[in-house]
Amino acid sequence: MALLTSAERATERTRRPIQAPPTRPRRAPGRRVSASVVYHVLMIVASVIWLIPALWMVSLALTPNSMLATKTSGLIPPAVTLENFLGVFQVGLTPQWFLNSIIVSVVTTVLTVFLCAMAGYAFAKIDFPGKVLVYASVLAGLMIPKEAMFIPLFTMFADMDLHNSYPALILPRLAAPLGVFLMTQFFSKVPHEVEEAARIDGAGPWRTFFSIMLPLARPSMIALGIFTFVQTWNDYLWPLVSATKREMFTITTGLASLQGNFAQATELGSLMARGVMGSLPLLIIFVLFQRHLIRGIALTSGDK
Amino acid sequence: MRMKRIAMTTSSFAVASLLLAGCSASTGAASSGDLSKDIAAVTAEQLDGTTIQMSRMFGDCEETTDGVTDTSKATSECEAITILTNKFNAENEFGITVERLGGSEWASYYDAFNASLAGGDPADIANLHAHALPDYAARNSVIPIDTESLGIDLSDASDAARGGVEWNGETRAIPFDLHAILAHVNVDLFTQAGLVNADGTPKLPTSAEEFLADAKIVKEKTGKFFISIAYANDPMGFRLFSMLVNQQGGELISEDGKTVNIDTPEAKNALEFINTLVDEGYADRTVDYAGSTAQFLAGDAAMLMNGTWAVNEYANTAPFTYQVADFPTLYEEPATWAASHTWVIPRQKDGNVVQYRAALEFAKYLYNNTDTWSIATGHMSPRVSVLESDAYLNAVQRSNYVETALHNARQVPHIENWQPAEDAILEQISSTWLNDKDIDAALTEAQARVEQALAK
Amino acid sequence: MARSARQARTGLKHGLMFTAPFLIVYLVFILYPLLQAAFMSLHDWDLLGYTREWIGLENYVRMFWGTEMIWSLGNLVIWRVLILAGVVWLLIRPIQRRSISAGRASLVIGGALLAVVMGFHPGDGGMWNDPNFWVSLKNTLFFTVVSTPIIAGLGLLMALSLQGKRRGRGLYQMAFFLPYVLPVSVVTLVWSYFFSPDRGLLAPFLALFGIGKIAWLSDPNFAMAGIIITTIWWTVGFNLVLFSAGLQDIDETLYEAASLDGAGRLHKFWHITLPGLKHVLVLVAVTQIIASFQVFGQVNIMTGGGPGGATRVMIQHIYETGFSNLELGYASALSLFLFALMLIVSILQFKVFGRER
Repeated sequence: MALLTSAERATERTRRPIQAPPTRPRRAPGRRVSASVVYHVLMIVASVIWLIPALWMVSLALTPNSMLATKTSGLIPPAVTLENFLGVFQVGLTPQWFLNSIIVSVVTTVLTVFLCAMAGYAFAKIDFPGKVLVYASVLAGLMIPKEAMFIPLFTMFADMDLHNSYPALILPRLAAPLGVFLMTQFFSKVPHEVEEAARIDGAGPWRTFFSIMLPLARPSMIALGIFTFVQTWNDYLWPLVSATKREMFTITTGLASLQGNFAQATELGSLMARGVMGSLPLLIIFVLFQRHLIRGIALTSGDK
Repeated sequence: MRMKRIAMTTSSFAVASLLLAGCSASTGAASSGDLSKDIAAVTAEQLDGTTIQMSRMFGDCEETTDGVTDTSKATSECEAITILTNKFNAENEFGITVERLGGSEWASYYDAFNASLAGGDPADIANLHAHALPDYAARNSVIPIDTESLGIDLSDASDAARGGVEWNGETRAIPFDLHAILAHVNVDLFTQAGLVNADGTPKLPTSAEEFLADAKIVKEKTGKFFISIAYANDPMGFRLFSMLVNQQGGELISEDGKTVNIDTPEAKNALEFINTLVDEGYADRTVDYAGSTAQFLAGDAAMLMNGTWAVNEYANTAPFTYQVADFPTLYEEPATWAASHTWVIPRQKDGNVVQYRAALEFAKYLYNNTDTWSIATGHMSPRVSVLESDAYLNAVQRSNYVETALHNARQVPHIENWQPAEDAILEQISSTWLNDKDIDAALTEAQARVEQALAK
Repeated sequence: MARSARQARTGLKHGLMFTAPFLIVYLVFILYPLLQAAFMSLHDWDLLGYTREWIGLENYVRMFWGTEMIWSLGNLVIWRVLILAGVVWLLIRPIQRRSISAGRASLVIGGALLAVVMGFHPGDGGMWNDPNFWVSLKNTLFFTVVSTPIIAGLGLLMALSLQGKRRGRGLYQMAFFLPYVLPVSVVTLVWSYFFSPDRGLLAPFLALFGIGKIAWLSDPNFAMAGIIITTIWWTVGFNLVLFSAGLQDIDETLYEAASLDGAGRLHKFWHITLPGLKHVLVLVAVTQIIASFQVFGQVNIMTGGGPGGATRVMIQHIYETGFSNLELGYASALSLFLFALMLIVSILQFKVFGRER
C-alpha cells in the first residue's frame, strides 16, 4: 500500500519549512504584471464560481422566509434578515444536535489521537515479542471498510443496549488503524538519543511518553486530530442507524432529517440558516487550522 | 416452512419472555389478556407526571407551532398533529407529557422506526400505516389493545378504519384517519381549455378515452400538462396503477395475500394508459413528489394527482381557483387508492404498564380528536359520527369528495410483507415509463417478484 | 541471557500497556464485526428477531444466482474479452521468462475464472434472484469509474493552477477546499435546491446556453450525473491538497534545468510534473475508489436510490435490505461481498505499488 512505502517522505515534509525561497521567472516587468493580473482575475472568477452554491446558501439563509415561499432568489438577497439565524437557537432541536456533534466529535478526536499515539509509540519504540505480527494485523485493518460493516456493529450495540447514547456514537470511530500507522511513522523518526537521555534521567516509559514524546508529537497529533474531527462531524451512516431518537441526532443526520420535502419551501430560509450554522464549527476550524488540516490530509493519505 | 417459522417465533418469544421475567420482577411473561388488565388497572395517580415519547411522520414544523394550542391555526398535517399534541400536553387531566414533537418525512420514517425497535428503545407511541401493521403485529413488536377497557369507542369507527387496525382478531392499533387519492383541479386552466359544465364548474373526464381527449385539448389550448403525477422517486405511480386496475374490477393482490394477479389484461390496460399520458406529453415523467406539487401550484398542470392530506394546504395557498374532486373513474367501477394512519404502542423491554397506559391515553385523545385532524388537513375521519357531522361536511372542499369518503376509497391488502411487494410492483411499472421497459415483460416480472416477496 | 529475558518481559509488559487500549477497540469494533457479519450471512436473520435460522449459503445463492440460469459465450462479451486481454497481457512476460510469481499467477487464474463466470445469466423466462444487487453493483462501479478520473483531473488542474509561490495562493486554495469541510447533509441541502428545475440557480444559468429545464434528480438519465456533480464539488478539494503536496515535493531544479534547455510548458508538464506526481496519482485513485465504493449519504438524501433505481448503490442496497426489509442476514452477505470487492481492489493497488518500488 501507499502508506507502507511512503512514510519517510511524509514525515520528512512535515518538518520542512513552509516557505521555500520563491523562484521567479525572469521576464520584462510589464509583461509580468499583466500576466499576473490575468492570472488573479481568472482565479478569482474560478473561486467565486466554485463557491456559488455555498454563497447561495448564505444568501438564502439571510432572506426572509416569506419571500422565498413564492419565488426563487438569486445570489443577492432581496432583503436581509437575521431572523432565520435567531430561529435556529429558539425553536427545534438544532442546538441539541449541535451539542451532540460537538461532544461526539471532541471526545472521539481526543481519544482517537491518544490511543493512536500510545500504540504508535509502542510500535515504534518498544521491543516486544510478536510486535511485527500485531503491527501487520493493524495495518491489514486499513483494508476493512468501516462503513460497509455497519450491520454487525448495529447488532452488537443492540445486544449491549447501547444505541441512542454517546458511547454508541463514539466507540466504533475510535479504532483508527490509519492513525496508529501515522503515529508509528512519526515516533520511529524520533532519534534514539532522546529516549536514551530520558532513561538516564530515570524516567519510566510512562513518563518518557507523557513528558517527552507527546510534546514532540504535537504537530502530528494536531493534524491527525483535526482530520478525525472533520471526519467524525461529517459521519452520516452510523449515526443514522444508531441514533434514532431525535434528541440524539448529530447535526449531520439532524439536518438530513429536515430536508425531505422541498415542496414546503415555506421554511427554506431557516433550513438554510440551520445548514450554515451546522457547518460553522467546521468552517471556523478550517479557517483557523487550515494549514494543519491540509497537512493532516497530505499526511493521512500517506503521500507518495 | 410456515409452521416451522411459527414454531420458531413462539419459542423465541417464550425464551425472550423468560429472560424478561428473570431480569425484572415487575413484568411477568404476561399473556395479552393479563397485559391489558394490568394496563387498565393503572390509576390516575400513577399516571401523574408521566412522560412519553412519540415517533411519527408528517415532518417538522416547530417554527410555526411552538407553544400554539389553538387547533384552528393548523394549516397542514404537521401543524395539525403538533398543535394537537401541544394541546394534549397543556390540557390532559393526568399530567402526561408527550415528548419529541418533531416528526420524520415518511419516506425515511420506517427505516428509523425499525432501527429504533431493533435497537431496543422504541418510542412509547408510534405512527404506522394500516397496511404496515401486519409486519409489526406478527413480530409482536406492537402490543394488543383492549379498547373497551380504555373507553376507546371503536364501534364508531367505519368498517374500513376498523379493519385496518385489526390483526388475527385482536386490535393492534388505533385508527387516526383514512386518506385517499383525489384530483386537485386548477379551475382556471380547465376554464381556459373550455372543459367546464354549464354552471362553470370544471368538467372532469368519465372514461379513459375522454381523459386522453381532454388532455389533448388542454395541451393544445393552454400548452400545459393535463395532470401532474409524481412519477419519479415516489409511490404515486403505483397508486395510479393500482386504482386503475381496481376500476376495471381487478385486484393486484387478493385481500388474504394468497393470489397475485399482476400479469393480467386489466393491468396491461392500466399500464398502457399511464404510459400514454407520458408519451403524449400530457404528464411529465420526471417530476418527483415535490416537483409535481410545485408544477401544479405554479399553474403548469391542470390537475394534480395527490392525496386528501393536501386539500386544506392547497385551498389556502393555491394562487388560482382551486377545487378538489373525486379522482375520475376511467373504467367501470369507481375506485381510488386509500390508506390509513394509525397509532400503535411498541412493545418495550421493561414493559412498564404505566408508560403503556399513558401512551394509550394519548392515543385515545388523538382518536377523539380525529375531527380536528380531518378538518384541518383534508383527511377523512375514521369515525362515522365525524364524517356525518356538519362541522366536517361544511369544512372547505369536503362536499367535493363525499363519494371518495363513502364508496370509492380502496385500501391495499393488509398482509405481511406488503411493502416489499409494493416496491417490487413500483419498480417494474416505473421502469416502463422511466426506462422504456417493455410493458408485458414488466408485468410478467412484477408478478414473479411479488410472488417471491410474499412467499417469504 | 537472564537480562535479555527480563528485558523481553518488561518490553512485553510495556508494549501491551501501550497498545492494549487501541488493540481492544480494534478487535471489538473492526475485527469482530467482520466475523459477526460472516456468521450472520449464513442465517435468515430478521432485524426484529422474527427469525434467526441457519440457512447455509442461501443468502449467497440469492445474491449471485437466478432462475433458469444458462451459460453463454455472448453474455457481457465486451467486458469478458477485456478481462481476458488483461490476463493475456499479464502472461506475456512470464512466458518470455518461463517463470511466474504466485501473485501474478493468482491474478491470472482469478481473471480467467471471472471471465468464465461472467458467462452465466438467466435464460428465457428466468431472472436474477436479486436484480437490485446487480443494479447497485453496476451503479457503484459506474459512479466510481466516472467520478474518479474527473475528481482526480480537476484536483490536478486546480493544484497546477496554484503551483508556485504566487500571492493569494492560500486564499484560492481555501476557496476550492472549503466544500470538503461541509457535512454531507449541508452539501445535499444546497445542491438539491441548486439543481431544482423551477427554483434552483442552475436552470437559469444553463438557460443562457439554450439548455432547457433538466430535472436533475428525478430524471433517470440525469440523476447519477447530479449525484456525481455534487460529489465532485464536495470532495475535489481533498485531492487538490494531495496534488499540491505532491507538486511541492518535485525538485525545483528539474524545472530550471528544463527551462535552460528551452523546454515548453507542456513538455515540462509531461516530462517532469506527471512523472513526479505518479505516486500521488495512484494514491488519489486508491482513496477515491475506496471512498466511491462506499458512497451513500448523497444518494440516500438526494434521491433515495431512485428514480427507477438509477442511483441505487451498494451501501444503499445494504441499508434498505437491512432496515427497510428487515433482512439482516442477507444484508450481511451483501456487506461481505462489498468487503471482498474492496479487498481485491486494495490488493491490486498494493501490487501496483509493489512494482513501483
